[in-house]
Amino acid sequence: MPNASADWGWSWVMLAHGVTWAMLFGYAWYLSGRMARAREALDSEMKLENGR
Amino acid sequence: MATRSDTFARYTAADPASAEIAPTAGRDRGLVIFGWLAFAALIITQVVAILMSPPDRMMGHTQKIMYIHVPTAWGAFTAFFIVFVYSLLYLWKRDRRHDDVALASAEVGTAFTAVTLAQGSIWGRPTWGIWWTWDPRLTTTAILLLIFAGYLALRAFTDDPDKRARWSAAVGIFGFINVPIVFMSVRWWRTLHQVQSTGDSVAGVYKLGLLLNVITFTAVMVYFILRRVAAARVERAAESRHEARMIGGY
Repeated sequence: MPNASADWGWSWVMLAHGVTWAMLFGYAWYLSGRMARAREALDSEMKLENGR
Repeated sequence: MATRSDTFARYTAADPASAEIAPTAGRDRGLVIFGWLAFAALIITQVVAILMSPPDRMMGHTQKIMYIHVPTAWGAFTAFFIVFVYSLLYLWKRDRRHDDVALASAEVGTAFTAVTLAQGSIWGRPTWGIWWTWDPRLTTTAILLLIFAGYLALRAFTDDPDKRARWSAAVGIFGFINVPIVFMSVRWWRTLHQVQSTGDSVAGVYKLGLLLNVITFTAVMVYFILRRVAAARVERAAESRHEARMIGGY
């Protein structure tokens, strides 16, 4: 049976949370970048379209 | 000789929705507020669940990993169900907006599945004494991750948007078949992994925390999908305008 003392396991909980929040914030950051690049591409296409 | 507007009209006729998309798309105030609320609610429900639950007799505090592991897995399954539905809709209606939703859900589902496996591994090391084993639940989940990683990789293989959407819809439908297998694997086969965490199998003291976190994780997942759909639509609009400009030679 594993050690079931009161402080046992917190480091594993913190590690699992670290991985999870890294994914959540990392994905949110990736989405912001992706959206910014897409808007820039569309904006320049529309400028080219309107400039002619 | 075709004029610029003729060429543009012809190209966008195949993808009429893209003509209406402006660079301001995705700046929806409601969506931004929903995102902030979903993240704030997730932080609150995590803190509440962690502080309220006593250490488990067998697992100690590692039991608290359940509050992220089960909701993440649930989020991944739900995302793949959305892929399945929108892939069918695409094949039926041939509307690229359905492909946008399927793509967004596949991407979010893949990220959630990868993290589910990582959390499970972190929990397995102190509990089972191993980081990984070829247990049916773990193996079927790894296969699920590979299928949807393949779905995302496949999209890079062709520049033809219709072909890309058709191929990925087929993989999305096929890939979803694995979800019920993953879910039922703990009952169909002898596994190291415990049975599904449901109202019947989770101890009363942990139920509320788990339920609240399933709700808030689902809200974050929905926010991610909506944001990714918005990005996919702006990308598609830029792509169709670029193609029209290339075809028209202006």
